[in-house]
Amino acid sequence: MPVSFEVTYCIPIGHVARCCSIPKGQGRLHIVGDKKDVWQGTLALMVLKTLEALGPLHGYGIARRIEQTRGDLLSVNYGTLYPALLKLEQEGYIASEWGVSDNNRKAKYYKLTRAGGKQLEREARDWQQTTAILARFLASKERA
Amino acid sequence: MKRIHSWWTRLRGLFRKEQLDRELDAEMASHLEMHIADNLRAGMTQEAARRDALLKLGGVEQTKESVRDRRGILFLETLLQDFRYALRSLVKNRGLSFVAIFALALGIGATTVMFSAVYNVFFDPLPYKNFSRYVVFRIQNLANVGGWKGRDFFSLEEVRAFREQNHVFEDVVVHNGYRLLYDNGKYIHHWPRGEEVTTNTFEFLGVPPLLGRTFSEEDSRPAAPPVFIMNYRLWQSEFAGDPKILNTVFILDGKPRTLVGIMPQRFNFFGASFWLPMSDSNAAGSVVGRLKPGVSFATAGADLNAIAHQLQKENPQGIFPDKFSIVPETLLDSFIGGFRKTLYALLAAVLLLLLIACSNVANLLLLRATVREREIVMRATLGASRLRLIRQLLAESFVLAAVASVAGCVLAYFALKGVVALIPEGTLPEEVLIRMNVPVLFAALGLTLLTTVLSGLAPALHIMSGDLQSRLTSSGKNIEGNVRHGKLRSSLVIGEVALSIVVLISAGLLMRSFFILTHADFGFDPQNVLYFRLALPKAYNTNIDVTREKKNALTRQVLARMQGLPGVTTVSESMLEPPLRYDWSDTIIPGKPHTERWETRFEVCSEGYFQILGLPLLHGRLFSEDDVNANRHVMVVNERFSRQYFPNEEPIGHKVKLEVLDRPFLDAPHDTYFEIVGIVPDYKTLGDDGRSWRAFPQTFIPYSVQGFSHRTYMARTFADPKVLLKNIQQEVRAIDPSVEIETSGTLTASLHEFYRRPQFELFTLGSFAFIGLVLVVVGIFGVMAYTVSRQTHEIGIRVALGAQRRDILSMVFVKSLGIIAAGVAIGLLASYESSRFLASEVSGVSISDPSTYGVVSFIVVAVGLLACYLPARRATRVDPMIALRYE
Repeated sequence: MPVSFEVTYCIPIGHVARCCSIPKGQGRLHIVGDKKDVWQGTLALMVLKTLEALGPLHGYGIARRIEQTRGDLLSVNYGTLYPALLKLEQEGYIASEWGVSDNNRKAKYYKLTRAGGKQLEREARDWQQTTAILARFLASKERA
Repeated sequence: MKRIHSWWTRLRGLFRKEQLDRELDAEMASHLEMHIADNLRAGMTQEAARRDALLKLGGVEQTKESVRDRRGILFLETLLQDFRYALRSLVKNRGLSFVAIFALALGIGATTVMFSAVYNVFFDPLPYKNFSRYVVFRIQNLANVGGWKGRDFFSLEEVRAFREQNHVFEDVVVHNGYRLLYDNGKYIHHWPRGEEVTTNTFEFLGVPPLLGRTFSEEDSRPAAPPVFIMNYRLWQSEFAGDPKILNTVFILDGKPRTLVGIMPQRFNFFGASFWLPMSDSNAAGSVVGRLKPGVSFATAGADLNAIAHQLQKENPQGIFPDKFSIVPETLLDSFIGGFRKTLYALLAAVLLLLLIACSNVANLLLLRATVREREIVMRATLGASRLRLIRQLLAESFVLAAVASVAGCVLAYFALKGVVALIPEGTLPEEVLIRMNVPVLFAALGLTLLTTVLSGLAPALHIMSGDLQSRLTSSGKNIEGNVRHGKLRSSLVIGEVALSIVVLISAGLLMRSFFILTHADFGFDPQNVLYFRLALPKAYNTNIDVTREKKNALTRQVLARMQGLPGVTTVSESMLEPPLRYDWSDTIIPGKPHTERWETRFEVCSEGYFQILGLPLLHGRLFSEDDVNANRHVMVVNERFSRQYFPNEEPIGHKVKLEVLDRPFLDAPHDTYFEIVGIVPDYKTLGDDGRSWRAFPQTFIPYSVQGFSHRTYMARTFADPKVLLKNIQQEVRAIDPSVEIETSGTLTASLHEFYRRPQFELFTLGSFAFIGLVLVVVGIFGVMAYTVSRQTHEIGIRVALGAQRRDILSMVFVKSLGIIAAGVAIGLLASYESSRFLASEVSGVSISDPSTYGVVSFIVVAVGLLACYLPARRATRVDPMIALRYE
């Protein structure tokens, strides 16, 4: 996430993500609006992380895994996963292949590509930075 | 990179739709299966497990839809949809589509042809480096009265001065025509004209040789071995393209010379067939300069002008008119001259044609859009956005234009060959290749887009304007809408008619002018006259006093031998052959002062000239063989000369001077007065406009008094000119083996060659006019057929109320006559204004020639009414019973 003249932060609130931009040196929050992309963005990150952790997996498996690790904090349709998977595949971060599941069912398996691995690293770092900045910011806000 | 990859897969997604859909179905199915299985394991009932899985997924169809959206490119997909839909509806209306494509293909094809010509002639004509900065220049006489008009040949000192003192040229080359005799071991003959050029010429032009090398500076040194370079045409015609002749020795003008290079096909600098090196210290001739970047023509002209005037001051003996200026010209203009105007005029005409085609297609689309109005309104009501609907209509006209464009290009490819074949030889330099190429195809693509917008936008916007909703609720026959569309349709047809009138009148004027040109009575019979000129070796051109007698002796012998040949009735010698070629002079008659120029055309000829042209003696006497042999200063004049300069006098006995003979560099009787001895009738020669035949004041003097002129021989003959020419060649060789026939032909053949230029213009413009007329017929027919079909109901009522066949016919014809008449009126006005541009192409007929205007109007009205005939006939066959039920 580029940090430049204007800093933009995205906070998941409920199942809607809000995007805020803070002009440098000012302490006021500007709410610029909902962005579906944000959910898609964090979802993409979660997919990549899942594939890194578990290796090749089908869509249903990914959905279940995300649901479990997230502790059902946000309840979202599994269906929203599929456009995200397609997007990642189009971008070359994941690749798909038809295979056979544990209980002998035909399923489409997704796996992380090398570009995907790098992207995951990058995204994770950005996300950590963002949350760190936001945390500091919120802390300073409290003091003020 | 990532983005490109993403777009690429998405683009691919557009075309692998079915396979991807199948995979998506399978993926969804497997997802659900797995989920259901899990739920069952967790203890749910079969039905609950299924329900939960579906719920969690958020709907199979919704998921599929959101994946599909992501898969392709939505914008592209709807665009493809538009095109698919457009194609389908165009295929459904085959007749209309065919007519529209036909009209557009004609328009686009014709435009592409003209654009190819214009592009290749003006933008990419010559293969030379930076050719647009090449400048040629000449000294132009500014005097109104007297003297010669100018020259572009410069002496050694002048060339050196221009070369060294100018501030405007990067580099200059000097070139000078050269004729030489080639001895192939069997016989000696002339090669086509070549040039002596300064050794920097080939580097200047930036064209590498096809074989061998070009000149280096050493080649022009006096001690250097003599070399030469050959052009492609000569190489092919004389040596069958044999590469082994390179670096061999040729006997040229009796001396050995080595061939060091052969130039590629598209290299014909100044039409030379060979090039000899000319040393810089020896350079005299015409000059071509390449302007420094950023230097304008005016600057160059002023700079050279100053140098030339300085030269005149330093060298009062030099050949300069009293008042002159240097006139610079681009190399291209010096080659092409007036043809530029012709091409632009034709391009303008062809654009009019394209406009006609576009309005035609606009009309047809509008016509169809009206039929489809309900469909469009329905789609708008169901939620199609206006933009989407307009896009849809534009997609249709784009498909039409694209197909027409391809057809037009194919048409243009063949038509171009015809047009190129029609362009008279010598109009364009040989380097110019007119052909279809990438820029031309890009232009055709541009035309496609242009025609899409021109022909599609008006109908699209028109149909979309106003309140769509209310049109849905009104009945099927929307009177208000019909009237609106009807007006636009009529004005489109009026515009078409007007435009076609403009093109037709231009073509008509050209046609009349061409007819007058080709059916002129010259005052002599050009049939069965052979002419030829002799190429004389250097021996005839060295010492003035000796060579004049030598030439005269040759002439006498040639004439005598020609007369003895079978099939020859009369023979003559003259400077040039009528009626295309002439020389003229300012005329001075003692005791007759005048302020305006007295231009007289003159001939230096043998006594046989009058017989060969069949000019009877009117008064006095003709000059005799004796006069010629004795070099007497006698003169025969024509009637017009006598009328113009001696209106109330007897011209015989007066003395006349031809100023042209006073030029210092001519072997001519300077400051000599000729006595008028006889008067002959007028004959016509080519007018100053180069497009008409006129009688001018003319004088004739014996050829023997001078030694400078061309020697053109004519023979009136009933033998085959080819055979005769061969015989003459033998006779000439017998007199002097080094003399050869240079140019030859018959007067009629040279006239036909001359007619090719106006013929080219007439043919191209005529075809455009014809195509325009065809398009107008299609336009009128379309509108009237449609109008009649929409009026079936009304006609039915009229017939039921007792209207006769005649009434119905007149109803249809009156309406179309109104439209046509309006178009004709506007077209005539526009023609009156625009035909001024044709003035230079037309002669012998006024550009507002009433009969041309009348005939063209009549043709358009007649053809227009003919186009209404079918619809009108259909109207009369309307059965009232059916028509009244017809909704």
